[in-house]
Amino acid sequence: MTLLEVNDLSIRYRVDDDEAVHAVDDVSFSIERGETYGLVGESGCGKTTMAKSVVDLLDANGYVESGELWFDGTLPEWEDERGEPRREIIEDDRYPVREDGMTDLAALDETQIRDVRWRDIAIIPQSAMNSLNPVYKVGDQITEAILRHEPETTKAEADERARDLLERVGIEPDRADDYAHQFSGGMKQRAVIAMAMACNPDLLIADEPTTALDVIIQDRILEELENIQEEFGVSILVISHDISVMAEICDRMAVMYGGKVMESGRKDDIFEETANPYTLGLKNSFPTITQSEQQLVSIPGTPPTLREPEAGCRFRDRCPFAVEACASEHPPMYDVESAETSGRAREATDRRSHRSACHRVDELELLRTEALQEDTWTEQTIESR
Amino acid sequence: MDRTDDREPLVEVENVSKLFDMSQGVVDTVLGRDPNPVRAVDDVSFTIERGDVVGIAGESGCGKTTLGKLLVQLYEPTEGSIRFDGTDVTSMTTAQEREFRQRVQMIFQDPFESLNPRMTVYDTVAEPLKLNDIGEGYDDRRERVRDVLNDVGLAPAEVYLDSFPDELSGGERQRVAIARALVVDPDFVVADEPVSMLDVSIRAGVLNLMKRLQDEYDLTYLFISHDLSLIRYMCDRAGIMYLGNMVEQGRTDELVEDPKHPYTEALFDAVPDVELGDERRRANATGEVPSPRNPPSGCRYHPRCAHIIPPDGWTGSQEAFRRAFQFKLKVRRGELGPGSVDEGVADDPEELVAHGLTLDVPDEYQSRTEVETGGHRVDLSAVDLPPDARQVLLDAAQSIFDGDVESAAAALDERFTTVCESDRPAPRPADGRDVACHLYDGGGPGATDSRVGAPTDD
Repeated sequence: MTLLEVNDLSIRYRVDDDEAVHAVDDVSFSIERGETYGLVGESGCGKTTMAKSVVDLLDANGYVESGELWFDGTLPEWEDERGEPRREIIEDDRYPVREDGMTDLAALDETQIRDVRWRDIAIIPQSAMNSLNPVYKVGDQITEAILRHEPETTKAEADERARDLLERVGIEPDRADDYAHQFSGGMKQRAVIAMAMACNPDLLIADEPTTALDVIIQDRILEELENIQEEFGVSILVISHDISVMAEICDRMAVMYGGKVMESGRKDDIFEETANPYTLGLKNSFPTITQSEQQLVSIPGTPPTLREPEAGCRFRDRCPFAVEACASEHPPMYDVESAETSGRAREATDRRSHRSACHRVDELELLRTEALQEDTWTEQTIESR
Repeated sequence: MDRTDDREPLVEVENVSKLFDMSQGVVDTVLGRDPNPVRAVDDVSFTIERGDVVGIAGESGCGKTTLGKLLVQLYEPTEGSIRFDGTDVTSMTTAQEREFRQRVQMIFQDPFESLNPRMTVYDTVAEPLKLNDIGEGYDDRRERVRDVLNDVGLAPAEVYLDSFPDELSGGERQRVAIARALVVDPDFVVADEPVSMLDVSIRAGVLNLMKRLQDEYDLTYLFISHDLSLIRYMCDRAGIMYLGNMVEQGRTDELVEDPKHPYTEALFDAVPDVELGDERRRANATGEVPSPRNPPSGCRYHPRCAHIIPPDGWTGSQEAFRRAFQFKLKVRRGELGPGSVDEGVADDPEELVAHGLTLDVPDEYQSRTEVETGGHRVDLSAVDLPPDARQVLLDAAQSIFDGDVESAAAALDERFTTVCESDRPAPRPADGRDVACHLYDGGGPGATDSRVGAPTDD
């Protein structure tokens, strides 16, 4: 069952001269209940902006230009006793609630979204290690989150739950009375995970959950996220630039570039049946620990700035396979399987299927073979297209 | 690349240590407190052959950057000697030092901070030429700068010469930093995490550039990185550091494929990999890196080690000893108390022992009872402990309930001893590399066992 459905979402940042940075542009994907979904991409590709927009935590100059964020859950005041949105709410056009009970998070105002944060969707921020308050006991910070979002809970119950949560992520319950500086780096990260789980959310957003951590601790935190998912059945949206971390924890993922989703689908499809020039280039450019003889090839050029971007594919300037069509418009998401079986590009109708934004999706075999050649990725080749 | 006899060492590091924060406050002096310095690099020895790319890997705080800075004389070693091309770098004449400063260069981690924002690319790259008095006047220097910029892929150089760093992308900046290092035609370059600030698609270009320039400029590299896949890609040989010690060094391929030191093994197991996906093994190590200000005695890694060596005459299993040793560490750190066990059994020593014997490791290394209880307790009957050791643990648990943690710790210290805690292992040759681990001391069973899991039972 779909938990979050992102529909043609565009997010911009206002900058001077009445221009705008198109940080996320026409992005669609969906997250199922109980799955781990990854947004992977280089810095500035829009992955963090995308994630922050879900809980309306964009910076002050950021705004949702268009699109919807349909979430399977609704505000407490719109619920009936079974937790479903009431009939009159669904039928009333003033409320952003759909026939199937999904609520458009992008249409909620500031106070309304606060009821969604923590209770339905919790976020583990980037550099979570520094997100604990140094002057409050760690346990009290978790207790506070519980009491704020579940006012009917008593202080003693909340305290009990905080200790239980810490224990579940592998921290001795007694440490609830410690301050953040008494925790090691890995323990802080675990505590932040415990805090995010405080109100038993349906969706956990983890923004670069392991980036500042050493590799052995990273290993443990990845295991912890897997365990949490198994135990609570929570869906996880992971944002990372690290492709190998993604390869390990995601069920499905989307590769972002220049504010667009270039390719999305099941993890295995992305890695084994790669269907987009950018993903192919990315795969060429990072080393793996298991291979002894490897030749890395980088993608020439640099990512676009996204300030009032031109028409045409965002990856065109760096793509060795660009043709004329690529200059006129950014390609829609094509269905990879149908392109491979029928040899014809057809727009994908299912957000969950393997999709690729490339005008040449009907020539995949050729792209894959050529992408393996080192000469393909030289600046000369790209200029001479 | 093979080490052959005709190749000569370029850099020889012998028993080098670097201690920080030796100074004391007035209060400490008055009270007669001993200074407690951080041993950032502790008794490290290794040799870099001419033409090699040597990697130094380890977690943050292991001393790898300090080691790099020692080699380029940004730090003076507190103890030990460093020889560059036969000359001791700590006692050079001014003329020798001038030559050294030209022949040895460093590339820093962050190209957004290592370039002066008010200097153009030309000024930045020409500065080492001026300082080293290379080149005849402006035209010659400009020519040299132009050549090196072309070499590092900033072509045509004319476009870049008058740019400021803020006009360049991260990849271009790092290329400028590389050009600045290479313009004086050095022999030895220390690169400290040269690509960690760059995006993935840019990284490979800079790495390949460094490889190509190694041939063109006939360079020897020391490549410092926390990223083991990069070390594998770049380096012929590698050293693994942990808390200031070099725990293992040898050919990179051999280190990766058959790690000898338990820390190396854990480190490589922890690296996620696209090829392996979720099939890979996790790292079998407990806890986190302790503070370098107060490092563990003996082998620095012993409190986390999966293969800690039981004492002579230990009749139980190695795993049971590891558990008992962790129990001892927990008592010493004050982590075990009446509050550690559930309320209903708060005075039962067996419960405390069952809780204290748990290991803080990934699920795949835990016992079934541990997995079922979320790592809360073990099944005591399944732990292969000698009867007297079990009694020591139970007595210690009773002492803890009685509020006498000190005598509990003392009794545990006496029973659960290990060479790993008492003696510092010296690096020893094992299968073509140097390993600092007691498992490879002498001809014991551990020394020949390639998968170091087997406990020594002699």
